[in-house]
Order: sequence, then structure tokens, then C-alpha cells
Amino acid sequence: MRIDQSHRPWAVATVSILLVALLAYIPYQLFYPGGPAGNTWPGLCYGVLGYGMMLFAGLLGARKRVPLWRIGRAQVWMRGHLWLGALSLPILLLHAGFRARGPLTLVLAILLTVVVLSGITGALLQHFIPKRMTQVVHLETIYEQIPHVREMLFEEAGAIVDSLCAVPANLPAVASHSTPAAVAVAEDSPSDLTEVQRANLLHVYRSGMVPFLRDPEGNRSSPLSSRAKASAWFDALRRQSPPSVHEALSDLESIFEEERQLIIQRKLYLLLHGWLLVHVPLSVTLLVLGGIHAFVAIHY
Amino acid sequence: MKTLELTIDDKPVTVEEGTSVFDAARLHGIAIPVLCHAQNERPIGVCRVCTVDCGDKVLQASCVRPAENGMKVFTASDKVKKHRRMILELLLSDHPSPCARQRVSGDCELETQAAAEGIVAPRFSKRVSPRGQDDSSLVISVDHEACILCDRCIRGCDEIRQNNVLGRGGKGYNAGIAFDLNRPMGNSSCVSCGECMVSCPTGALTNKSVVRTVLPGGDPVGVEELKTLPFFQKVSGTFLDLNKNAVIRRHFKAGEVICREGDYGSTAFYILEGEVEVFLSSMSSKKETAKEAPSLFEMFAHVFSPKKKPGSPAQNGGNIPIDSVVDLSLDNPVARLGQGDIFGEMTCMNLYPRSATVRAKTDCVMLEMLRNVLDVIQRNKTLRAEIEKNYRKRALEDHLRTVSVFSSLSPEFIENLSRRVELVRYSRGEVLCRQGETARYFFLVRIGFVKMVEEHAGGDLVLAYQGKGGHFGEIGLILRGTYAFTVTALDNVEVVRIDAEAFQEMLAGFPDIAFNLKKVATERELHNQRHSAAVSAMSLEKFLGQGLMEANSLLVIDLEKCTRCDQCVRACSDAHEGVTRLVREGLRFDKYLVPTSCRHCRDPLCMIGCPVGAIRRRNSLETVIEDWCVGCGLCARNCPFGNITMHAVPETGAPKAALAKRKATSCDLCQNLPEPSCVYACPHDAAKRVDPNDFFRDLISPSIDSGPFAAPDVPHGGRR
Amino acid sequence: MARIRTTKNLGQRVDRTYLKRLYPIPLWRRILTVAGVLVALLWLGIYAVARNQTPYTSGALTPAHAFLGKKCAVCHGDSAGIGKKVDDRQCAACHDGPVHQASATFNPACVSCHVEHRGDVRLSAGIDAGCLQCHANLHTKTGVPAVAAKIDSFANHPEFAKKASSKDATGLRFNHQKHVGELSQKCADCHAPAETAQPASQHLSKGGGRVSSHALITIPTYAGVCLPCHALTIDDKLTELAPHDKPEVVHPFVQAQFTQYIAAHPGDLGKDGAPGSAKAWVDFKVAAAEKKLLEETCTRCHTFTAPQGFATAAVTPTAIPARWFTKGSFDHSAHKELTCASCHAKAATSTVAADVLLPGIGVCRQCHAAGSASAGASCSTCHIYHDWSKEKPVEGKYVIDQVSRLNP
Repeated sequence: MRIDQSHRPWAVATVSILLVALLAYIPYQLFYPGGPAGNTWPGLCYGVLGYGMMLFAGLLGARKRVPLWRIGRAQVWMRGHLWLGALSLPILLLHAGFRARGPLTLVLAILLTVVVLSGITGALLQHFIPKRMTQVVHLETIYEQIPHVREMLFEEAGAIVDSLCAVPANLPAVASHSTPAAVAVAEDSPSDLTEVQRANLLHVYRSGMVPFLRDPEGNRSSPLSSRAKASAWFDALRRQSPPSVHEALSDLESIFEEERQLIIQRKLYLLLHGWLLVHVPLSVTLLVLGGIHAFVAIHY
Repeated sequence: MKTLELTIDDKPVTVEEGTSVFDAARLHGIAIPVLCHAQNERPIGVCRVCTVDCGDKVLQASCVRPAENGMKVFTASDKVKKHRRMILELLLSDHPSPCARQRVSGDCELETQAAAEGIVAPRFSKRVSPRGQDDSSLVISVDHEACILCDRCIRGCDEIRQNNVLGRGGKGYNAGIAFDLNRPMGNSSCVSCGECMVSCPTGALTNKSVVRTVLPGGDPVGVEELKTLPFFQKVSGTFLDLNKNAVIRRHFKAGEVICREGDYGSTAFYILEGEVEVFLSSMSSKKETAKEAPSLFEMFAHVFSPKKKPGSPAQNGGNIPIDSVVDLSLDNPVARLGQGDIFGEMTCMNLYPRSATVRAKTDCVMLEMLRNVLDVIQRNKTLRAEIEKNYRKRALEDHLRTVSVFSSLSPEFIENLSRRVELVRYSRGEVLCRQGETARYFFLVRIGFVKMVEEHAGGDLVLAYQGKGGHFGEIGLILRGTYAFTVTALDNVEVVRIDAEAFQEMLAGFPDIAFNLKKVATERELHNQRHSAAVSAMSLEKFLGQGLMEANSLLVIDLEKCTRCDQCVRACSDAHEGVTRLVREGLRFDKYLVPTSCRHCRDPLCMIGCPVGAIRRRNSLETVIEDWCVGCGLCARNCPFGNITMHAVPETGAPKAALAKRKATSCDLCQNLPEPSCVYACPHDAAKRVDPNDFFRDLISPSIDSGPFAAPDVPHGGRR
Repeated sequence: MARIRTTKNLGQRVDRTYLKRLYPIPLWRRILTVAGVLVALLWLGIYAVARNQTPYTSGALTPAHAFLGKKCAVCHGDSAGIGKKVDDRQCAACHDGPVHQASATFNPACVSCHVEHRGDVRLSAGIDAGCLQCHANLHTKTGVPAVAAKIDSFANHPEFAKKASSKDATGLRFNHQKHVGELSQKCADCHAPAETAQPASQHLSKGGGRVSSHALITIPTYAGVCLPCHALTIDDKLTELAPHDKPEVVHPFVQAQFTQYIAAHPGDLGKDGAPGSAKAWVDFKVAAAEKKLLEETCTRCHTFTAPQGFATAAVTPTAIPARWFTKGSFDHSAHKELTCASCHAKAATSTVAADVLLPGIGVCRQCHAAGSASAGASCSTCHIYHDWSKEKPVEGKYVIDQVSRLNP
């Protein structure tokens, strides 16, 4: 979520709560019999408060599973997640009196720190990357659809090459997977290429384009994986072809541009969501262990 | 047009050349019995029941026989009657009596006519081999036995609906109607639009009573009762039966508001009893010269979300009485409608906001009907002509009185003018006037939107959109002599057309109007040049190119906030039984993604042609698809943005509504919830539902100033 | 054929079933989530199977209690409850905790003073908070606090009772100034650390802990300290010194000495104005010697009431306390790096024994204050809570097996 002006009330509230908690901690630290600890009443209050914050932050995941429940707008939950989640770390440090004396509490402290730090990392990533993605990837699609879109691009490229290399009906479609669209294209546009040019284009298609289309991410060495090189590559191809097919070649080129953008999109998306692989599992573990800790602590 | 003179049953009649004998008789009040000819279909003359004596060697089917000069036609001579009786007897001998329709609604046309002829039992033997029934469709039951091969259903399916499902199959004794390549109806590509059933004169195609279109808030009206009303007499009982709840009876107490100006609706009202008053609550509250008029977008905004603006003092002292707030208190009735009148047709047909408020004057009983009913009614030429006559009279009167250009005209002149102008309808895409043609008319837009385009060698340049109250043609009539731009109808448009002669007369008689119009014309000329230069700004072009101005409510996703988490899609999917109506894919505008989700267009193309009126507006702007959708897919094809999808409905579903195999879905703005789920569920404050013209104002306004193209702000004048 | 992206074709190229499938990132997220939770539960599970609850401890136990650490319920009991403390009965299973004061209005829970799970700390030293429960605002059964009603920190501790009293009721005469100043004697010449634990130190070691066998200073005795300079000479003629004892003991001794002497030296009869008869001589000498004793020798240190002469004189009893602090403890050996004068500053100038040379609490506070930068000022530094004089005798009741079962 982009951290902007609209976060001001949350930021103010968070800082105020933190200040109040810190101020309350001073007399607690100085005068409480036995000093700060999790099992004292103030410590318990910090603990309940902190666990409540953690739980609220953790419930964002659950809340996302029931998007329809009218239990507050998701963005309110998200803001709460960000701010209260971050706040839970200092509050729980106050709960523990900046000490972790037992094995479980030590694990909890480590988990909480890692979760909050990963969360802050994620918040930063999600603050900056969407803008970057918007600027760099114009031909963005839904991440999950990338393989599907790539297939379609592959087919489309095949169809274009088919249409360029179309020879009278006695030959089957050579390049495409013979989708109806491809066949239609092939039938509609008679080719202006000579036999030699056709063979050349087919060769180029099979040896240069197909491997890249099949696995764009695994073919970093292909000239098609960089815009400048691809441009030169297609310019060369254009020089060998009559002007009537230039538009089709431009279409092909734009297909590769789209493929390249999808590569970037995938990378950025992985950054955008990859950190969750750390954040989410650990936070769930943290909540479970925190619950056990709370149960055992209150039990004894 | 050449006219013909002939006599029908010794009555001399005059008709236009090309009229069939049947129509000639009909136009002069002589009813000829007929079975295979429905007025909304092309005549084919297969049943021969409309046989008449035209003085030819043999009797002729009047529906296909063109009238001729001097022709002597006998429609009920003994010879004709004898032959007609024989034809009916022969038909009835191959028709189960009573057939399904006769049993249910008692209006099998064949049996009714046979009974009128006194045929009880045909003398001819029944056929031996049965033709069979087809019960495979969930909506329509097919009884081939009752079919008289009139082909009305085939024409309805293929020519009216253009579904091309029905045809003829078999030969000779085995001939019959066939779905696709003679498949069972339920397995065919039939979309269950019901047209065939409505067309069928007998019980061969009958409703299975599963489609329950429900209008809330009234009692359903029985078919028998409807058939007693003159208004519904010509409507197929089968159809009324099919759409039982599409017509309901509602009672209103005196003083109760029936519909309110500015509301969206999709129904028309027919007054059974009582009287209503029609008035304009914001009548001419604002009268400004064109120069001060609001911008294109304000105009859009105003037309579609009527907000009362503070009235500004009228410029012209001599207002016509009815056009002034002073002279007409807000609630003063403009007109009264009584028993047998219909109102709300335009809202019903065009899905515009109500243009006037209607309030019950006395206790009233109304029939409220959905568009599909009105549509069927209007297909009937006689009725349509009647409706349009009334309609035209009222529309013209109202419109002329409420358009500010004419605010200084005297009431007498308006009376005079109203007889000299025409009210013309155009459908989407039709050209009203073309750039460079001699200017012959002045136009006032009454309903709908037109696009004013300047044609250039390199392509067209959209100059402006004109909505209700806009006018054009004055540049041609006053300055150039030819039209300065091409005007195309964007939807169902109705304009008031004033011919050049009346227009010049008006200019001569009312110098202040002439002055204002000249000023407007000059300003527009100037503006044209400025605009041509300015409009090249990319964003506006993109804005218009993506059709964003069409949207009432546009879902946009701020891509700089969006983390692509797909929560919006998940929310949509959850809100709609696991079928998402939102796809986070589409074109971008600025930093916003305009995803695939219904835009609730101002002019919903999707609504055109829905066979069951399932896609409609309720009382607000959102376009909803009701669950009586029959899954024909027309709306999905019509939507230019791909925002309607067809999806399969589980067959196991309880018989709660139409048991269609697939249904159309589109965003319904989560109408039962206070906020669309996608927006509500967006954790990143990225998804928003916005009015694009407001939301993107900063991006697009630099290149489109208010300018003189903006229509004068007219209150929602004119009732229907 | 240019490739045109329109809203419609973009929307329609999407395979709308994608929401129903699980993609790698969410899939791995779920796998890792389940794995994370499982690992955590496995960790706790292994301990649970081993019936070992140490992971849940809120801190290490004192070594003495470490063997109890695997089973919370041993001390905490089995019933759950928020804010519930370890019951005194659990402690009493092993420990005796004699009552503090008969006039105490309530007996606090053991754990309110003895806070466990703080690692290897001196658990027997209760925390101050335990004492402050009452002493911060003391109510006693009698309604009258013996010392002070409000003692909430060492800083607010009242002056030592002995110090507060204006006189040291020692019953002796003693001039420190003379000894230390004029005669340049050292403190240690008279005041030696006690060699063995005093009976009271048992009392101390139970509660106060760090009390060594040199905690106290021995009471200076005449024989041990004064004698070399202050010999109880009876008469120049007698070599025997008078015993350092009551007059009724000294009187017959003096008589006997003179009687022996005159018997051995009859020539002295009648000399120097003394009577000539032995009996009279003895009486004369005794009277003179006893007068001297009474007026010079003994009186140097002691005071008398002697209305009928030395023989029946009553010596004011002397009272040099073994422990000045009867309610607290002070370990001189713990302070042995300090000079005596740094605390007992007035000793060098004191001329009368009645001067109280006990340092005031202010002297202590020079080093002892709350906070980590000072020598500590918790109540238990000086005081003990339980009245160990009422300690019950301990009889062993557990066998090793019972203990090892707690720690399998």
C-alpha cells in the first residue's frame, strides 16, 4: 500500500500510542515491585495489547478470505495491519521488559522481530514497485495469466509467420499450431515473399523466435531478449523483405516487446509478493506460538 | 407517392402504391381473417385464410396480393366465405382441438376462427402418423401436431430476432418446423427468446411458465384481463402468459408520486383508472445564453444526475407563461393524463432517466410493464401509429415550450410552430445531417445524444456531443448555407426538426432570437477553429477513444497503489457465486487501469434487443441483469468493452427462475450492498468507482472548454 | 493487420478460471505457513512427549530449584487462572517460613517476596517490594507501629534507633579522645573483630545471608584491653592486683592480701603513721586502698553508689552491646577495607563514653542507595523477614527417588 498523506491519522495514532506506552513504562520500570516482566499486571496489559495488535494484523489474511463481510473496508484493515503490526514490536518489547528469559519467549521475540522487519521491507517494496511496474511494464497482464498470454503470443506469432509464408493450399500451415485464427489469417493474406525469402523467414522463425517464445526467461542470450538487439535483428529482417510485409514484421516485433515486458513484470511481481513467503508463514507461526505462550502463561 | 383507388366490399378506398390488399382493407377498418400473417412480419401467404376475391381468375391471398388501381375486392362474399371455411376446416382437421393454447388462454387463432365459422368437427379424417411433441426445451413446449405450418415462428426467429434457429424440415406430409438441423429444441442453439412462441397462432409453441419476470410492488395481471383492454388486444396471449409478471397492476393513492424526474427506470405505465398529473419540478430553472452554458461534461452530468441548480434570473422579460418559474409554481401541473393513456414509454424503450414527475391526481390503478411487453406492443403497426401520434403531439408541445432558445417566442407562435415542425427519430449510427450538404433544417435534440464530427482528410474530429436541449444547424442556416459538420446519432435519438422556411420566419419575427442564434453560430465557428487545434491533446483523444465518457460509473485502479494482489477480483467472484464479473485487465488511462467491469454506460448498448428485458436499469444508474436472463448472449456481443460474460449455470439449480443453460453476467455494483465489493475489498486504496468525467476532469478539461457547443441547460422537459 | 489492444480483446483473452487454481506464490505461502506452524508445534511436541515443560519457562530457576523446572505444576498447581500466584503450600512442602511479627496484620504470599525465574539469584533475599507491601504504610494489630509507619526505601529509612538516642548508656567512663588522640592508640588496639560467630549470627545467616564470622566486633574487655595500662594496683606494697570484679569480691581479696602481707612483714607495723597492731594496720591499709580504688582506680571507668563504703558499694552495671543493630545486621568484615574512622568519625574526638559513636544512616547512604551504581539498598541487605527463632526443626521426608522422578 502506498504510504501517502492519507496515512497521517494512522501514523499520528500509532506514534501517540507508542508514546503513551513508553511514558507508562517509565514509572512501571522505576517503581513496579520486582521490575517490568510479562506476568505483572502492566506487563500483562502490554502483552494483551501487543498480542491484540499482532492478532489484528494477522487477521488481515483471514479478512482477505472473506472479502464480502462488511466488517470494515479492506484498506482500513490494511492500514491497521501496517501501523498496528509495526507497533506490536515495541509494545511487546515493553511487555517483555526488553528481556526474553525462556526458550519460547526468545523464539517469540526473534519471530516477532523478523516478521515486523519483513513486513516493513514488504511495505517499502509495495510502496515503490507498483509505480515502477506501471512505468516499465505498459503491456502488463494478470500475473497468473502470463503463461496463458505467452501461449497466445506464441500462437499469434505463428499465425503471422504462417500468413507470410502462406503458399497455395497444398501445404499445411507450417509455423502455427493451426488455430482457427491462424488459418484465417493465412488464407486472407497472400504472401509477397519469394521462395527464398520464405525459406529464410521460416528458418529465422524456427531457430530464432520459437526458442524465445517457448521459454522467454530461459533464453537470456537470445538477441530478442533485449529491445535494442531485437530492434536491430528485425531491421535486418526487414531489409531482406519486401515493404509489403514490413507491417507484419512490426507486429512480430511488438509480440517480442510484449514478451520482454512480461519477463520484467514477472520479476517485479516476484519482488512485490515474494517477501510474503517469509512474512506470512512466520507470522502465522508467531501467532500460534504467541497463543500457546499466552495460554501457558495465564494457566500458570 | 403514387396512390391507388380501389373498392373493397363496395367501399372506395385510396392507398399508396405497394400496399397489399390486406393492409388496404385494414387501414380502412375492414378486418380480413388471417392466420399466417402477423403484422410485424413479412407476408408470405401460406395459410390462404385471408383469401379474397379480387376479380381475378382465382381467389387471392390478400396479404401478398398488391392492391391495384380500380380493383374490386370482396372480402366476405359467399364464394370467399365458402372457400375460407373450407380452408379452415382442412387446417382444423390436422390440428388437435382444443390445442394447448386453446386450453390455457383460449385464444388459439385457428380454433377461434373455426368456431366463428361454426366448424365443430371437420369432415376430414385425421392423419394417421403422429407428428409428435418436443418437450426438451425448458421454456417452450413444442407440439408439432398443432402446427399449421404458417411459418410465423420461422420469420420471428430468423427475421425479427435474427437468431436463425428455426426453419422448415421434412417434405410433404412430414413437413414441420425444425430447430437447427431438426434437433430437439432443448439441444438446439435456441436462446429461448420467446419470439416464436409469441408469433405462433396456435398451440404448437407454448410457454412452459417457467420464466417468471417479476416486477416488485404490484399484483400480476391475468392474461384474460389484459386481453380485454384495447391496448393489449392485439398482443399474443401466449406472450402475455410467458411474461405474466412483466405486467403488473399497481394502485396509487391520490397525491402519491408514481415516478420522479431523473429516476432511472425501465417500465412504462398504462392508466386503467384515474387521473395523473405530469409536471417538471425543475422546470426552466436556469436560463442562460449558450455562452454561459455548462461544459460538455457538466451537461452530461446534469442530464444524468439531475441536480437542481439555483435558478438565474431569466434574461428575456417576455417569457411564455409556462416556461417560467414565476408563472408556474413548482408543483403546478403541466398536463393531465387519464384513463387509457400510456406514459413512460421513452424511459422504457431508451432507458433514460424519467423526464418528468408523475403524480396521481386521483386514486389510480396502473399497469406497469417492462420493455419487452412494450416492445411487443409497439411491433403492432396500428398500435404503434396510435402511440406515436399521441407521443409526438405531447413531445413537441413540451419540448418547444421548455427549450430556452425559444423562451422569448410567444405562445401563439409556438402553437403555430408546433404544427410546422417534425419530430423525427433516428437510431444509433444514423446521420442527421452531413457536412457540406445544403442546410435545410434546424435541429433541436429532444432525446438521446448526437456526435458532431468535423470531417477532415486525415480523419474525423469529434467536436462535441449534444444531448437533450442541444441544437445545431444554425451555422448552416445563418452563415454558411451548408452544414458545418456531420451529426450522427449516438443512440436512439429524437430531434425536433424545423425546416428552413419556418426557421427564417422565426428569425424575422423574433429579432432577439435571431440575434442570439447568430451569436451562437459565430461563436461556434470560432470555437471550431480553436478546438481543432486544441483537441490534439492525447489524453482527451484517448479518453474518448476508450469510450470512457460513456461511463456512469467507471472502475479504475490506481496502478501506483495497486500491488496486483487481485483482491478485487476475488471479492467480485465471492460476491457472485464464484464467477467474477471483474477482470483486472484492460487498457490504461494515465496511471489508472480501466479493468474489465461494467461501466454502466449512459447509453447502454447492451440493453438493445434483450428479448426478455432482463438487462435493465432499476431505479438508479446501474445496469443489472435480472435472473430471468435467457442466455442469448446478445448483450455480451453488444457490449463494446467486453464487460458482459456468459457463463454456465449449474443445471441442478432449483427451478427458481429461467432454467437457462447459461446466463449473462456483468457488474451489478453489488446492488444489495452499500459499496461495490471490489472497491470495498481493495486493501490498497487503489480501486475506485468513479464518474470518469469528474474524476478525469483535470486530465481532459484543458482541451475541451465549455464553449458554445454545450447545450443550454434545459430542465428535464417533456413528459412522455 | 496492426496489433490493436482494445478493452474487449484484453478482457476476453483472460482465462477466467484462473482464480480457482493455486499459483506458485500462494501455494508456497501456504506450504511454508503449514511447515512453519508444524515445525513450531513439533518443537513443543517433542518436549511435550518428554513431559518437559522447560520451553515455557519464563526464566531459569535458581539452581536449587532447577530440578523442578520440567513440570510447571509442581509449584504452580494444575488449576488455571489469570493472575494466579504460586500457592504458599507448594513452598511449604519443603520450606519453613516462620512468622514475621506477631503484630503483623497479614502474611504475604511467599512469591510476593521470593521471585523465581530470575536465574541464579539469592532467592532467600526477598525483594523490597515484598517488604513494602506493609512497610510502605504500616498497620499493626496494635495500631501503633514500633518504629515508623512509612518506610518505602532506604532513602526514607529512619535513623538507627541507637543512633537516635542521645546517650550511650554504657555505664562506663571512657575517653576516646584521650586514647586515640593523646595516646595515639589504634582502634584495633581495643576493638578486634569477633573471632567466632556470635549466637545471633545464626539468626543473621538464615535471612540476611552474607554475614561472615567476622561480622561483629568483640566487646572490649578489661582483661583483654584495659589491663596493660590500667592495672588494678591495690597498694605499692602488694604485688597482687585487685581482681576486676564486684566490690564484694574485691573487698575480701584486698583484706586477705593485706593480712598476708603484714604477716610476712611485721616490720611495717606502725610505719608511716600506720597503726601498730596488725589488725588495725590491715584495717587502715584496706581502708586506704579501697578509698583509692573507689576514688581513683575503679572510678576511672566505673561509677559507684557507695553509701557505706567500698565493701558494699554498688557498681553501675556496664552494658557494651555485642550488636548495636538488634533489628538489622551489619557485617564489619564486609567493610574491612574501610578505615574505622571513615564511619566512626567522632571516635577521635569523643571524650565521654556516653557519646554514641555508631555512624548514622547517612554514613551508610554514602554508599548504599537504590540503583545499580551504588552498593545496593534493598531491605534484605540488612534485614531478614522470618523470625528464625521460631524455626521448626526439620526432619527429612523425601527420598532421592521422589526428586529424580521430577526430573526423569
